[in-house]
Amino acid sequence: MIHVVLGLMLLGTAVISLHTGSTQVAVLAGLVEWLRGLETVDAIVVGDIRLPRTLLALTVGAALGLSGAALQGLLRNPLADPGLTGASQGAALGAAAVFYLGLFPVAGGAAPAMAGLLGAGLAMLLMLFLAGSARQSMVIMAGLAISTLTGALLAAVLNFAPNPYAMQELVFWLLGSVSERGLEHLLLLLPALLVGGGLILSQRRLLLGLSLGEQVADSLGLSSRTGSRLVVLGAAILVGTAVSVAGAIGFVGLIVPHLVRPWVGNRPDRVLLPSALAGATLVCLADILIRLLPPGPELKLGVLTSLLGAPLFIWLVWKERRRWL
Amino acid sequence: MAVIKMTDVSLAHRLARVNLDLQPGEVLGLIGPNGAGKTSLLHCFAGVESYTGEIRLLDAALSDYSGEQRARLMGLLPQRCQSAWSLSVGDIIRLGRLPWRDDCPEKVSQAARMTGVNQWLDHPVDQLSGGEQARVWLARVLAGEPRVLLADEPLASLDLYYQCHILTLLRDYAQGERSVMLSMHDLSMAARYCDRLCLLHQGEVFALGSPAEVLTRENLLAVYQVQVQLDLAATPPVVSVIG
Repeated sequence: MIHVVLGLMLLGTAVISLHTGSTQVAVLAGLVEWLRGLETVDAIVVGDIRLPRTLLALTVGAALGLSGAALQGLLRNPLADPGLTGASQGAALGAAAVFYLGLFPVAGGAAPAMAGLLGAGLAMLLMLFLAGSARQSMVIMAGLAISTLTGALLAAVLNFAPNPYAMQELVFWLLGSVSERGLEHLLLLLPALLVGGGLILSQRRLLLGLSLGEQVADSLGLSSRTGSRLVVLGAAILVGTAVSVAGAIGFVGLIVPHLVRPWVGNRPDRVLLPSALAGATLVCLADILIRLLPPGPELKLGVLTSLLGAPLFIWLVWKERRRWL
Repeated sequence: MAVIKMTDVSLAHRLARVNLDLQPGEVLGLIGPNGAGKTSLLHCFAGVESYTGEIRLLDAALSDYSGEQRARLMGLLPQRCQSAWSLSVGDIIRLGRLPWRDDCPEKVSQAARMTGVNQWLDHPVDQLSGGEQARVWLARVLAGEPRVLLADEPLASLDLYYQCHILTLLRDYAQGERSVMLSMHDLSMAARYCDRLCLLHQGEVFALGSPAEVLTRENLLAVYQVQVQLDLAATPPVVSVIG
């Protein structure tokens, strides 16, 4: 039931997103013309600008929502954030290397994303190696350690910025956005969403069993060791690609599972797909909001989600505190 | 034929060459001071700890079973249990069906009735008291209908009524092919409800046999270093510490 409701909301948001922009165009006609390969204004605006932007917002949101729900379930900690895997910082470092060292010139606009993916992958491997047993406290500590390391390297890169423009470009990239990206970014994100999502969903029963702790999960015949690694791997793939493509979009992975949880009886296995759907919808809505703001310097998507997410987070902490008082 | 047969099972620093068996229809009580190895022993069966030596479950080595096959035959009730999420009592009990990959409503409601938690099926488990929760955790294991039920101090945090209730329930569960192995500290309860006792001391089996064979003044003095007054023929059996 909740899947249907969230699915319909997602579809509605996508349609609104295709209709939102600075120029008035015939969306349906433009879409048909774009599919037929015609180069009319409508086709270019809808097919080359709005469609990639909408699809990217949806996939990035889905990746962040799903990875947040999976990590919170795995670590049994409602405050776990996808950034914990160290993947986001790793991706940022990879992208920074592109801006400064000019890596992957062949890849063109997708170069930061590819380097980001590489950075996320390296950070994640280091983290998994350091965490070893994949126990919950170790994953948090190892993720924090790797994030700190990559954060320090990123700061060093910023420190030695060759020119202020490169620095500005990087900082803006880090703030997170899904605009000015093409369908080639979707080619990076979609497989990641399938693989990462598949890994996480294959461990649904483990996440449910882990509600009662590792001992119970093991005694129920679930392999918490291997399974946890697969979940961390899946989450890191999702976060790594999302950050590589769209920069840091804060709070989505942290907040979305909280919004969904009451509707699925708090079950960590049932919160996964709805979190992906709700994450997709929320990021797309935030991106629509940005396009509706008065013209001028564009507010970055990551800044908006943080601005909206932080008060929501404070409210959650407040609610949680009242429960314990 | 024994349901479980343990031969020379060791676990670094915790168990040393333990030999033990569990018969069908039997309630076997694990007793011994803190740190004697009761929990470690139960964990070896349940797949939580890796051990050296051999454990045979029915007619095959335990290591030859897949995790799921083992979980269908053996259910573990750990000493301390807590739900990370505010799950409903029904969802917790359904967790016991995970190895069977079904939700079997009859078995879930039967387990809830047996433990007296059926009126709370839709309640969040974290709103129940400690004793009520303890019965929910037990219901979770019962729902899986394991051949061997392993319970690690199931009486902790229960009031006197429910201590008797749960022990009677476990006693009744061990019928036909089913057996129960539980660790406990209350020796007079152990003498009353268990068919056999295994007294563990520093990771080794100190004594194994009927309550009368195991609960002797000499054994208890050697293991617990206390003098006791014993009357196992009384109903209920008396094991009281003199000092």
